[in-house]
Amino acid sequence: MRAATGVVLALALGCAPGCNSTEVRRSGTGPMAFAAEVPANGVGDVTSAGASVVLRGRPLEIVPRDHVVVDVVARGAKDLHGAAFRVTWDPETLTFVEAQNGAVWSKQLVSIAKEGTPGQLAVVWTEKGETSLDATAETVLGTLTFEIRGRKSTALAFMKERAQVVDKLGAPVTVRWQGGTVAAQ
Amino acid sequence: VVLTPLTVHADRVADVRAQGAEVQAGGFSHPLLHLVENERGPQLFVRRTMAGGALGHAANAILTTAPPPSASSLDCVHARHDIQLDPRTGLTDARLDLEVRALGHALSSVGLSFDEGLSLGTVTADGRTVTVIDETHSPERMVAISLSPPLRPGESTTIHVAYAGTLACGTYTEGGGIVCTKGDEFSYFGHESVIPFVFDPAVPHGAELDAMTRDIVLRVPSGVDVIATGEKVGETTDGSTTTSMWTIDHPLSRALGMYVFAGKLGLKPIPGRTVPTTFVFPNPELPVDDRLMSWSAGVLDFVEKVGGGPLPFQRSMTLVRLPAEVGDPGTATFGMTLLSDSYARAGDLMHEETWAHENSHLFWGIVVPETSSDESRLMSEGLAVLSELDYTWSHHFASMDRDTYLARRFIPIGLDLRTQGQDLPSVQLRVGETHPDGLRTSQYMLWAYYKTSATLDHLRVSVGDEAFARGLGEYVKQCRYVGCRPDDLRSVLERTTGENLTPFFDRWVHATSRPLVSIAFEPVPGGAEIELTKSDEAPMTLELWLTLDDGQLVKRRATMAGRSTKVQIATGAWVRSVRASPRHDVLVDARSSVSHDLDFDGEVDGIDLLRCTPLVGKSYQSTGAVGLFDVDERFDPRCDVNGDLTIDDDDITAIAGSFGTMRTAP
Repeated sequence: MRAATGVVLALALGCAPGCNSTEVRRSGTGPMAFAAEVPANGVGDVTSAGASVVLRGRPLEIVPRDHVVVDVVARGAKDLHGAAFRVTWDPETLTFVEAQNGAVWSKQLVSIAKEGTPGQLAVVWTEKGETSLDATAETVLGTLTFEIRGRKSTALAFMKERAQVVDKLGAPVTVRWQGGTVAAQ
Repeated sequence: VVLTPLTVHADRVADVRAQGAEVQAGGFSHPLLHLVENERGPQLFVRRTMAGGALGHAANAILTTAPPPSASSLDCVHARHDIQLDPRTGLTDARLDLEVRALGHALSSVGLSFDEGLSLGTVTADGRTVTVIDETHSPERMVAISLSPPLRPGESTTIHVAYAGTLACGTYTEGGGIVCTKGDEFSYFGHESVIPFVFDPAVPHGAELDAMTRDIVLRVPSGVDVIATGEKVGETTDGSTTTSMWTIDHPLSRALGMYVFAGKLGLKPIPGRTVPTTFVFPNPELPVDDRLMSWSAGVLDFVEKVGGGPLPFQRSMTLVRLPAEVGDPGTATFGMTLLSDSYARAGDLMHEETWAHENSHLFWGIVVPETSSDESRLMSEGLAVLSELDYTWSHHFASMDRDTYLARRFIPIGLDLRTQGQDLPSVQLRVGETHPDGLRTSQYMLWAYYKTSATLDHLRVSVGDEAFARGLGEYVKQCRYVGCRPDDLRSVLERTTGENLTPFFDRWVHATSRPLVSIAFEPVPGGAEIELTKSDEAPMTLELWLTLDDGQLVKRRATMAGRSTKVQIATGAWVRSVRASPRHDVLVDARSSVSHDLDFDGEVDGIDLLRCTPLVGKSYQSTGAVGLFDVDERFDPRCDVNGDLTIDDDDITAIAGSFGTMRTAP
């Protein structure tokens, strides 16, 4: 048991494939980029125990100029029927461009995203009927794209009381939600 | 928590010897339908036979469904039955001494019906000359005893009737029940076989309560076991004959079942009860008997808790497992509950619940009768359904939130009422209204069981469960052995709660209503400002559920005085949603002021959709069930936006159309 935990921690403290950071960076003068928040226990990102949904920034090299692109990544949820959440940010810094669902969903997918109020985006990606997908391993549920308007740093965060994952019977799945910050490098 | 839908258990079928009652997957008709049939059997038989011209009545002259144009003047006071019976052959020699009184207006005749194989002997009446019409309407003999001169109001006489012969034990054409069985083993003698059914030939369709006491003397060959309705008060054996004495020493409706069982009976004491309680069953003993016995003490204890005190049958009680082949689904009567073993087919949970329902009638209808079973079944069947649901929750689902459980159980009831019960009369019939009649009619079921129980549950949420329970206790005290009407419950509850319940009764008991109530709210520091809107001025009370940001649930009752009511409720924490208790849902169409806001948080987002997307493809198909019975209770009516009883893409599209309606982030 102790050895297994050690393995998990070792992985957690490293940078998972595709991530660009596991800690919030200080504002600088470089390009604006997303940095995932570091949980209070210091165990970062999707490799920690239990089901989680995290925002993960795409590497700057593949992101269009003046844009921030984050993947919504689930892990540890074997029976995931759908996910609904809200993301908030400072609209003086970012403008919502689009939300694109991931490739894991079936053709039955319901995919809706709407910025109901400035800086508050509601998203749902869900199957229909008693079906689900296996998100035990890292699974990109979808991608959010924002255009950068200003250089003031902003949290890009889930509203945890308005975020939910359910299984195919509609029962809520306990999930850790983890956002981050968009700031100058 | 998802309630597990029950299915028909094949292993139960084998041990109940259900003959002539095939179990079909998904096609099991609701057990309570059969209870209705039995309960109303003798009275319906007499009504219909009389309507067909029996005893001098012109065919079709009497409506079988309408409340009586005038109350019956027949007031039965006491009956003494002396019955010598050989259960093996059906040989019977019996005598009835029936004390009657004229009530309200003159009484000129009294009707009896009993097994057609028995012949009428001498009939006399103290101080009166009698003439008799004696007819056979198979499987019954029907007798009208005319009194000359008629009894004037307040006058009384005792009618002495001898009858004897060999029981024919025929079968009712409608319903398929049998009058009695004969044999060495379990012999069954239902009401209208050896114990006559008493009625008023002038008002055969009357259902006003006429309660009477009885003493029964039964003489059977020695060595034969015998059980009769009532409390057992003695037994002697003189070598060839065993004589047992039974009493019904508190008034019991003359319409309620009077039974005799004889032969080699299975007899076992029910453990855990202070009052000697005997379980009666046909030999051989089956696994179902163990189950019924194991449930019985808990069921009776629960019934007494709900009724506010011990049942008044202090000398003895009898619980009977009826074999399916007698075609009698069961009933409750004085100190006796009977249930057909065919109910075991529904699975243990539903069987146990039906056992609780039937035993609860020991209060609801027996000790606490209704003034008229024709004008309303609110306080008999309505209360019995509530009792069965409460019983199942407390014994099997107590770890689940009670409100949520009850709301779930009422989902199929509400859907059935909305889809099939739109034309039902009010819970208490108004002048000119008639209740749905007929054997095994789902419409009667909807009116007598579903609508009544839904109304009572809505009422108890409106006044508060504890206040309702207190009021019910007072109702039992006030109404035991005397007939009471729904308005008596209203009066009692008004006394115990201090609230004016006339608007509630006017809206939901004397009329039919499912008003739309719109709920809007604004979270404010320390609570919420709530606006409730409806389309009429009549007052109404709802229990509101406020979910706080920390997940805590706060429940507060709010009374709406007019069309729009504003209330401020302090909670001490940020309010996330405000909705009505789901237990109001059958009778109140409570909706968020924001279209398609299913979770009442004043917004429409993915959480509203996630409530419904797993249910896409589900259709509601009534099985005539009080929940828990081949019903998928996960069907969520709020997701069925267009009300077509199917949750499909159209509904999801409708909800999605409002997606993104949200407040400014706090």
